[in-house]
Amino acid sequence: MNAGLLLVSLALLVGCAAAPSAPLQAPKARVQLDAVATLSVGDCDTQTAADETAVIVARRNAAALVRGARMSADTALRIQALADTARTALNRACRGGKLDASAVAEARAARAQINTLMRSTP
Amino acid sequence: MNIEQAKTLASALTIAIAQAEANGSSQVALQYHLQQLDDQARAELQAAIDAATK
Repeated sequence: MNAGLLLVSLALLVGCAAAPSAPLQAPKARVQLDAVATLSVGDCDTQTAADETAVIVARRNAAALVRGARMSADTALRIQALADTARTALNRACRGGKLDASAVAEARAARAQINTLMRSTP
Repeated sequence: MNIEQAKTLASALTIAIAQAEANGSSQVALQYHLQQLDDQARAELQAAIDAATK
């Protein structure tokens, strides 16, 4: 094997051993991040959906009880205010696509008080 | 989740899916439609309270 051929062989070996260039990796990483971000937003909405529907149903049930004269207006006003608190907390719970556990806890605490008021109704 | 809550969630999902399909979107705006339902429920409860305090 002559020197020239050896040099060409060495150059080829060095070229093959080089690390892949950054632009080849970046698009794949970006696609993976987009997929994770989309999945995270969907998960947060899903996780708070049960709490949100509970607030909606509580308001509707309280409205029916007030109309049927089985709940006082004062109690209904308290339920309305607690439902507003829960709603505000749930609106905050998914900002940025990541679940805010403290906001969910605040909403659930308000819901627990609503449940207590509903149970106290004859 | 009780039946009433499940029906409410199903209602919001049905509307959200229909809107996403109409817009050609793959994303469902569930939270937006739940908030719309809550706005309606809030107004309903407020109307009942106002009627009871007249």
